[in-house]
Order: sequence, then C-alpha cells, then structure tokens
Amino acid sequence: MTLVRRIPSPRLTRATALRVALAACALAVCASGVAAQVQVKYLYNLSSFSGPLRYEGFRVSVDQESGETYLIYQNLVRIFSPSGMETFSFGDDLDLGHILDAAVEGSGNIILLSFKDSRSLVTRCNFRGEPIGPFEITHLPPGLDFYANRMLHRNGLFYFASLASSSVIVTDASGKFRKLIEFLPLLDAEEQKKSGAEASGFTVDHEGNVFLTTPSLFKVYKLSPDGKVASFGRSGSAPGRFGILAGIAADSRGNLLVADKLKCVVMVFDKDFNFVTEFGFRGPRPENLILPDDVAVDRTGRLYVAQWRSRGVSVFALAQ
Amino acid sequence: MKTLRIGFVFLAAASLMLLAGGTAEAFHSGGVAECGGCHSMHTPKAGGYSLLIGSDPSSTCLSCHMHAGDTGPSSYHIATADADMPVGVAPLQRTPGGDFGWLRKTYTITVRGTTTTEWGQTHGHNIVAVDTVFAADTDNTTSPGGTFPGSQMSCTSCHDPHGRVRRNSTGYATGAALGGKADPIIASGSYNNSPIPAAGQAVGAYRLLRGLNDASVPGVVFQGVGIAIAPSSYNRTEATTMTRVAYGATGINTWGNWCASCHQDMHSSGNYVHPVDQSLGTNVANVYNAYVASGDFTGVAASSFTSLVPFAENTGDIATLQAHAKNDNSYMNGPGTSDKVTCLSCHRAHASGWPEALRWNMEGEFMVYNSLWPGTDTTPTVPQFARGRLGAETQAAYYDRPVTQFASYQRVLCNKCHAKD
Repeated sequence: MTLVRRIPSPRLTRATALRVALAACALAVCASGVAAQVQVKYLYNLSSFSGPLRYEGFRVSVDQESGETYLIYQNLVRIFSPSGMETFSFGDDLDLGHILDAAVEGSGNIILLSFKDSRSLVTRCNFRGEPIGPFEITHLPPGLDFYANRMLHRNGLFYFASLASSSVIVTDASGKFRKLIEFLPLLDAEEQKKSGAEASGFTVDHEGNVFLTTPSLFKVYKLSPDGKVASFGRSGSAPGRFGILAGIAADSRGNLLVADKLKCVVMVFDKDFNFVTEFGFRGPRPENLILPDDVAVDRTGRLYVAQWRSRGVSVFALAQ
Repeated sequence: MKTLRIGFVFLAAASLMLLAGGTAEAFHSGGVAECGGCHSMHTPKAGGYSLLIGSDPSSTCLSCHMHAGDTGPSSYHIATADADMPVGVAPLQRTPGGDFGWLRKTYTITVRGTTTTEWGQTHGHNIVAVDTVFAADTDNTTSPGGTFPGSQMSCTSCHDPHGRVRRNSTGYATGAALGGKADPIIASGSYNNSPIPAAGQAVGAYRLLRGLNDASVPGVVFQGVGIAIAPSSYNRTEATTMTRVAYGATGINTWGNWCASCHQDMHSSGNYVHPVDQSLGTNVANVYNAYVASGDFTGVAASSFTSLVPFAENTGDIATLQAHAKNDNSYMNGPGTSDKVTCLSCHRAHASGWPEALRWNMEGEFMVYNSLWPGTDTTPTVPQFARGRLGAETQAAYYDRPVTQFASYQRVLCNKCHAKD
C-alpha cells in the first residue's frame, strides 16, 4: 500500500506563480523532445597484422557475449578481438556457397548463413569455423520458402532477414519456425510503390523490436513483438534528417545507430526516435566516414562502422 | 511517427519472389527525384560537386544502385560489390544493361605457353566512382570513335539524374526553359506498365537518358532520344525465360544515333564499321528468324527472338513496344525486314562478362564446347575458350541460360544474323 501525505501548498505571489507556470511549460515541452546526450569517440580501425583493413562493403556483426567482431568479405569470415585485432579467419575453403552472415549461439558455435545453388543455407560450425552440421529451419508454413541474406541472434531467437523483400523469418534456437514478419503489406499503396520493396538495413534490439531502414522512403520502421509498427524519418540534410539510409544497430540502452551513406554520418536516435546526435562526416581524418554502410554495436557501446572507399571498419565508443 | 496495428501474415514463396524482384519505379518516378536523396544542403563538410556529398556523381548513384550482401539479381542494383565477388564468382546482377561488377573481374589466360590478361576494364563503360572504387579506363582515354574523356565518364554522362527529357501524349519534349512550359512528368516511362500520358501529362524518357539536344555534358550533344520499353521486372535470371527489352527506332531517335553522341566515328559509313540503325533487310531478317543454334536453321519468326541479340523495332509506338517488352517468353517474335540492327544488338550498355561489353564471347570461335560452358574447370583442355573463367562464370555471363539451349559446339552469335555456322 502506498501512503500519500498531503503537503500544504505554499502561498504564491502572482509573479512567482507565473514563473512556475512558465517553467512547467518549458519542462513539458523539453521532456517530449529532449534526448539523452551520447558522447562519441573514435577509437581505431579494425586491423590485421598487415595494418588497418582497406576493403569496402563488409558485413559486420558482433558476438555480444565475447565482444568479438565478425567481418565477412568475399567468403572469408574474419574474427577480431574486442581491441580490434584480427585473431582468426576461416571460410574460404568451405563448400557453403556465398557466405553472407555470421552469428554466435550461446554454446560458442558459429552459425553461418550462406547462399548456394539458389537457396539459403544455414550451417552450424564450431568455434574454429569447422562445419559440424546443418542448422535446419523447420516447421515452415506450407508454401513458404526459406530465404535470407541477413541474420541476427537475439534473446535466444534467430532472425533471418531478406532485405530484397523486406521480410524476416524468426526461429527459435533450434531453427523451429516462429513467425514471418512482412514489412511491405504494412505500407500504404504509394509507399509500397516507392519503396521498391527493399530494405537497406536490419537489426533487432534487446526487446525484440525489429528495425528496417528503407532508403527510398527515407524512413526507419520498427516492428514491435506485439505487432505494432512505428516509423520515423524525413529526407533532408539537416541534423537528424535522412539522405540515403544504410545499416542500423540498437545499443543496450535502446538507442538506434543509423548509417547514412549520402551524409556520411551515423545518426543516433533514442528509443523514442528523438534525434540525439550525428557524427562522422566525409573527410580524410580517421574519425571521418565515407559511405558508412553496415553498422553493429556491442554491449559495451563499441560501434563498428563498415565503409566504402577502401576505408574498412571504424570503431567508435559510445557513452551516455 | 505513425502507428499501425498489424498482424503477421504468411505469404507463399511465389509472393516473396515477386517482391524480391521489386518494383521498378522506386524513387526517381521518371524525373527529378527527391532532392535530399542525392544532394545535401547543410551537412557539414559538404562542398562536393553540386552539394553532392559523394566524391562524384557516380559515387552518389552507386550509393543506392550498388549494395553489398545481395545473393542474386536484386531490384535496381546495377553493380555487384567486391565483397560479394570472390575469385571464381561472377557478378550477381542481370539487368539488360549488365553489371558494372564485371569491370572488376580480371582474368588470366594461358594458351600454348603464352599468358595474357583480360583486364576487367575492357568489359564495359568505366564510370569513375571514387567512393566505390571504379576508376577511369587506362587504355581508352577517350571514347572509342570519339573524343569524350574517359576521366569524365560517369553515370550522368548518359543518364540525366534530373530526368528532363519526357514523353508526352504527342511525342518527346524536354523540360521547360525560363518563360516556357512543359507537361509535368507523372511517372516513369521506362516500363511495360508505365502509364500512357494523357494530354497535359508526360512520363519520363527511357531510363532518364539524355536526349533532345542535351548539351550539358561538355563536348557531347545528344540529338535524339533512345526509345525502349523494359519489363517492369528486368533484373532477373534468364535461366528459364528471357528479359526482352523492346527497343524502338524512328527518325533520328535511334540507338546508333544516341550512342554516337560519344562514339561518332563508330557511326561513320566510311570507316569500315558494322552497320547500325540500318534495316536488317530480307536476308538478315530471314536468317535471324531461322537461326536456332549452330547448324540448326529450323526456326520460325514467331519464336526466334533472343535477348542475346536484340534488335530495334522500326517503330516509335510505345503501345506496341509495351506489348512486346516481356519477361515470360510470351512474345518471342523475331525481326521484320524493316527492323534494325543497333549498337545494343551486340553490346550491353553498362558492362558484360566479355571484352568490349559484348553480349557473347568473341575471343574464340566457340561459345559452347562439347556441350559445356567453357571454363578452367569444365573444359581445361581448351583454355582459349575458358578465358580464365570457371564454367559457372561463363554461364553467369550468359545470364544463367542452360547450355542445352545451344548447339554442343555453339559458335559465336554473329551467326544469329549471318549464319556462317
């Protein structure tokens, strides 16, 4: 039971009352739009013993348990320690077709998503990257083929996304089908026409919300586990507006990190979609970004940004 | 922010595949798109070309039209990222214009002890896109047959990102000058499902291509327009059915004329060049229609078309072209005698798996060898036909066609019109 003690109101002069009212109004206005500050600091670029990686178009994912980073480039899975050095690689001699994504399950096994012979393939590998068996997707509804080019492991579930069709298949840890999330039917007709049915980025936060970025609509869409859809975003170059959306990631606080290839920034939004900050910007300095594309964030707030123009993957620290 | 209540639905695989093909009208809608999709007015550290934050126009285009992580032909992507093309893997996109990713595929061929290199840059138009690491052609420093500098080659050399050329209810027109008026563009005009503009309306020119005396590219004047209609789903494998772009030609609006804006000497009748924009005539049309494969001339006009050797129909009638632009083999008619050979009969506009952006391999006499797609793995005894590729790469260059569509020792497709095999 909660006890509430009634406190007598102090006597207010008219001027004081006005000031209090104004302050209250100001607080109310600010409360709806103010987002927590996020400090961003460039740390380093992912490197091998040959120096910083100089390729572009990496797929980047993070093992939240170990803090290791997984990069995929030309069928090679490259693993980096939390300090940014390459520690292991595998994949180029596997007969798995085109390797697209990697995730780590609780046991430490590595799950690879690949595309071979016109079908998607999921393979369970041990920590050395040696295949130990298929990861079967079971109990799919009749008529639904399994296809994906992105994969995430969150909260014991696997999310397999097809960016081309903006759809996500969710399975449990054993690969048993849970649900299909289809994004396109959620749009109105004009949006459907404009979207080209294509998403550019995909992530899932720790509450199970699924996020997709749609560059041709200049919007980020959020699909909650309870089936609600929300979106935000407007085109433009002012801070917080979208140019060409790319990858998206959600940190442990629910902040959204959204890469913009046109503006060459990563934008930070809080979980209520309030714009917080943006950073990077085109330029030659290490902390600059050129065509930031895929992004991933670990639970300590280290953000990994894959870029083009042979700039590899830049790592930033986010602090709140 | 908007909030909707949704339920999760199941869709059949067929629906998914349809969606994966993507609609084709995204973003540009036949004309100038949303400004903020390419230009950034206020982003700090801007100062690039025309407030494009990309290093150059092509880099800006490829921000959307090139995407890492594709598994196959995907919507409006026209270049495969390096990340998706390890050695032995062909580019993934299958647009009629080709995949710029072929510019990155360099092959080494050793024949009778002599090793040669087929450089990727020979495979197409070398757009300069610094951010996505496409560089100028180092061999052709100017356009072959012309003087356009290779260092300035860009997507916007051919395409007008603002899409001012339009097709209205009476013909083609450009955007209005100050003091003038022009019909507004209501949608893309590139597809077989594009609207027919009513009076007072217009649709965009095919693929936002420049035309109608556009002289905004230094040193180049595009006199006519390029007439064509594509199926609305065009970036797709041709393993089972072909993607037929219906090219048209009328008056000065011919593809040879259009390409000659930069390659003018290729069009000169006095330079011993292959004819272009000329009617096929009875003999060639008959050969095209009869040709099935090397040694097999039993074809008929109603089923003789191949997208490996397209031709321009002698018409500018859009309704006709829309009826012929198919991706399900429902219209396979070959040419009539007045239809025309074009540059695009042999070349792809962007890039192909073969030198000079050709649609088939002209570096040897056989396209198919011993019923196999030539490859270092499939036909190792004839490296001159494999050209350093795996058999799968060769098949990809032919848009995944099964080898059984051709003769067991199929010769080059010059013979589709000339029947010397």
